[in-house]
Amino acid sequence: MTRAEAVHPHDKLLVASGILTLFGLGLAILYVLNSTPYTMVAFLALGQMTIVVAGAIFVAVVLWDLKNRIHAVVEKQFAAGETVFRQGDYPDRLYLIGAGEAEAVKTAPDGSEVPVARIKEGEFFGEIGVLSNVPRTATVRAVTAMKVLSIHRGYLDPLMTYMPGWKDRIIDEYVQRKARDEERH
Amino acid sequence: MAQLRSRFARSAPGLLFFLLISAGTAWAQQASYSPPVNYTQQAAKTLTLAAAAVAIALTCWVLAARRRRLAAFQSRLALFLGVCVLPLPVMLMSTAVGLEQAKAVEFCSSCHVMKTFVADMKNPASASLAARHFQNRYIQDDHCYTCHTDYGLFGTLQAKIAGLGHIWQETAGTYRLPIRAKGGYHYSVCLNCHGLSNRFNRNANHRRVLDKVLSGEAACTSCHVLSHPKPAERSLP
Repeated sequence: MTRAEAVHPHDKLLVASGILTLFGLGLAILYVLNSTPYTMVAFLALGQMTIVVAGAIFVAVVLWDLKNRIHAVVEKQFAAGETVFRQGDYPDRLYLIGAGEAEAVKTAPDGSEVPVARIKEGEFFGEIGVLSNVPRTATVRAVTAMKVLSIHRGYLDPLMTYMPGWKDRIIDEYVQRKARDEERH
Repeated sequence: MAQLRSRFARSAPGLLFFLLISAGTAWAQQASYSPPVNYTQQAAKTLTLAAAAVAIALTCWVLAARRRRLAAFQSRLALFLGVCVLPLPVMLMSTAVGLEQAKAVEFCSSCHVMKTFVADMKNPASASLAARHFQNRYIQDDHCYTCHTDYGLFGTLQAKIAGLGHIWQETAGTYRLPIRAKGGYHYSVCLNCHGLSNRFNRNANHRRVLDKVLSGEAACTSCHVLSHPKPAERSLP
């Protein structure tokens, strides 16, 4: 079974900024070609605002992405019971557990949660979504207080190139978990 | 004879070209008179439209062809140009071009309530001040704007702000008929052109009342009453 590709929430914002810009520019062209009181008010009140908002959205997205790239590898802490990510979320990061334990659960169609894996210290999770570019296939929650190394997906390629040992581990684990995941389907 | 003929044959194309250009120029001058073109405004308008077209093309390209690769550098660069860089000059220039175009009579007459006024101004039989200024080309362009904008630093700004109020009243239908000018009509608008004219200054009546006008005791419109159609004739067309 093939899953739909994961769409970054930022992509939706970028599309929205593009559409807003087209709307604003359309009003600007209308105003320049046919200056009437109505096109004037439409452009000055609505067109200019949409162009400014669209630009602000674009800049915010770029800055947010930049911040994520700057913090490509960060250590994070989760309290027991805290959710790391939810099933269906955009797969932006891979996690390596430094201390503690996590549990992966799948949400059944009836809404109940089915445990599918227990992830221990030294293991990683979140690789299926990152490597396949599909939405998160399960919800991961900290069972105990947990320390993880959170790695941005954009940083994964260079990391695997410079650390071939990691690459083998991640790929092996990815293949096994993906096979198990597909069996469940 | 043969030499003369060959000389004529050599100069014939040049002569024909000269005759054609002369005839074309004469025809063009005879055909109609074209008022001077505001090249700065034309250039600004063309630049605005070109920048807007490029911004729209870049944005559409990303949204249509690169929707699945929005994170890629090319997509981001194209969106940056289309969403952030180019719209900025478009916004500024279209505001400037539009405000300049808003001075035109056509702009004013696009409001329903103004149609009677503009029709009167363009009516050769009308004796109103507006019509006389228009018919005699006392004001070359932007007739409404020239007489209804106060001079000074903030005159244009005040006119624009008042204009926004007028647009709202026209849209919401909250205007009251007959339309009348709000407040008095300041003498400086008239004297800006007439004040230094010999014809104005030679007139004994003008000399007699000028002090009163300048002190605010009287206004130009106290004597020159019929600036536009009479209030009774200002109904909607």
